[in-house]
Amino acid sequence: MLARVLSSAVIGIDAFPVEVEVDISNGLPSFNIVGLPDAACRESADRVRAAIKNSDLPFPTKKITVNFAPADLKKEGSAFDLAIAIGILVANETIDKALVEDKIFCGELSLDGRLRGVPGILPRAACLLSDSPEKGFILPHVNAKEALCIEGILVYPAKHLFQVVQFLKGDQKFLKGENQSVNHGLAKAVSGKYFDFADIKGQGHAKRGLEIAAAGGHNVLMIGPPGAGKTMLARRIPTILSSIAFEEAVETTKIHSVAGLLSSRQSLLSTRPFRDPHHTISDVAMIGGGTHPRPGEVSLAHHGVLFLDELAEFKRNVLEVLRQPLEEGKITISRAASSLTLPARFMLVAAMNPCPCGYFTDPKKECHCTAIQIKNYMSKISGPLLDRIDIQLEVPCLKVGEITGKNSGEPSEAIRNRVEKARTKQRARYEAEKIACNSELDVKQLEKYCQTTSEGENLLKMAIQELGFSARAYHKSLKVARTIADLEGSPCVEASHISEAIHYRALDRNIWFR
Amino acid sequence: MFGRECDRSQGNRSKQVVGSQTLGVIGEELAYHFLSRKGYKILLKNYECALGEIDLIAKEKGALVFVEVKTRRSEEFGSPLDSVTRQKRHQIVKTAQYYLKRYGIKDAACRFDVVSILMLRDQAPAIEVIQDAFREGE
Repeated sequence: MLARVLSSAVIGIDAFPVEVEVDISNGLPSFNIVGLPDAACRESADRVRAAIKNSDLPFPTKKITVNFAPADLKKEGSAFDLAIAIGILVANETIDKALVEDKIFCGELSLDGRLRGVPGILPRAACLLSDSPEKGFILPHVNAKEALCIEGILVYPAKHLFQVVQFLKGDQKFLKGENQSVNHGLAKAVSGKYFDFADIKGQGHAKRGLEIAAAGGHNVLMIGPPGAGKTMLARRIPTILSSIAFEEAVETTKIHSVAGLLSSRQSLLSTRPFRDPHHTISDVAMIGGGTHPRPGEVSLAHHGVLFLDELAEFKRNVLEVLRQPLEEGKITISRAASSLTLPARFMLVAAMNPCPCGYFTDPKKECHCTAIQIKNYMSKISGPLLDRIDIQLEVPCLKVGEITGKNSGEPSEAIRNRVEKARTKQRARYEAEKIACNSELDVKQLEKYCQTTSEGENLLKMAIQELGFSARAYHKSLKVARTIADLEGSPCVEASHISEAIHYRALDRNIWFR
Repeated sequence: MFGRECDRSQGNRSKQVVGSQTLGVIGEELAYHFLSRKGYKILLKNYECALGEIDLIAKEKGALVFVEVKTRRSEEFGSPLDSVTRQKRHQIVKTAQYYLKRYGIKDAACRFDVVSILMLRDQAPAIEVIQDAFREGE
């Protein structure tokens, strides 16, 4: 007999419906799975058999053929276990055919029949909503919260295969449908979990730079001797980021869901992600990849911060692959098997020393690097990459008074309030453009929204002539100036805003070519 | 329906002499009686073709059962069940496929059973049947 059960598969961060067909016929007993399954998928035969037997359900001693349709798309992972098991029970006439038609099934089975969580539930739920929202979604209990982020679908969380079978046979008490959306924890984001900017003494200049970066989503590079507080500053960036909007949260959570990084207690990510990969990371881990492409750090940092500590220690190819995502906010991964575009709109925060020994800019300590060493160190960071960094900050060594002084800095909350205000302004202004912040402006929009005074115009001209600004540097400075104006609440970009923005770009010249 | 072609009672493969009979033949004899008592209807003993050999072919509860009998004198080299290796299983499946084709049996529920017999010195033989012991392609 033939059975049809619905499930879904994930490619990249999008899901699509998959039909699991199960045929049982007489003949030499066998269990075959076809329809481009990967190894984990093919192994589900053994899990399904054990799970059915251990749930005290009959397993047919017959020839079993399972097909995944559409057959031309690669299926991966163990999420089809439940659909296959139900398909066998339907084909075996343990469950009535009509009972499974309005449901979709997802979940991995353990040998004793318990349901285990699978990655990628959120994209599946979103796909269900757009394709056939009237269908019920039977899924592992641990994934329930994740699925409930999507409003408008009916979810049946189950812990055991037996529960699902009893439920399908009509015993409603075994599973309870839920459709209460659970995304209420969004607004109250950052709490005492992180550190606070008040912990950092001095470094007012750097703090100001980071505030501007957070307000406009600009990329930042911090340069300074060891121990100046670069890493401390970076770790506190999450405390001043604006809260994440619902649509943004869904997008980012999808990526984390596919990567299997969501815990069962978590539904939507309530804060912007902060990713800080170690500098030994490979380029594939950075941008994503693999035979079945998986998201890398740049995608995991989508709508959040990617922090690269010791920037010059990263492998050169790892830094160069950052160019496309930095510019376009997405990354296209092409492999022989498939090509995939993942979102990767992040704010890059990088920190580095000015030379191998670290003390090149330090007024007191002697730097003992040769000119060649410094040149080699710097050559790790290519011009094109540096060009994409809007704000360059020098983080100098603290003075004695600053270190021992009692007065602490401004608390994160005050800074965050200003950032939030600036972001709200930007969101309102760009509502029609479908972008969120200044750093996402394209050239056309730049002309429209970043009108400056003639004085400011002249300043920018001078920057191109004297400092050798590229066209990109020119545009980026304008964007930063726009953010500074937003922070001040000024509707127009003034000359003072432009001069501050230009000053943030010229640091590399100030340090290495003085 | 189920033809009989190579019905032999005497095996000629083992050099392992136990009195006048080989250990394997004794085991198969034991399995024959044991299964008969359990309600198996034995159709054939030692079905043989170019692809291999099946010790017993029987009917039980409407299913056609291909039985492999394994006999051991001690467990020093593993239990009798261990010796039904992947190759052996493959061979049995191939032979069964040939059998089904040869006699035009198209729509029968089939099964592979293994009978393990352990004949320790001075003890009654321990017989164990494993139903649905393996499947095609495993």
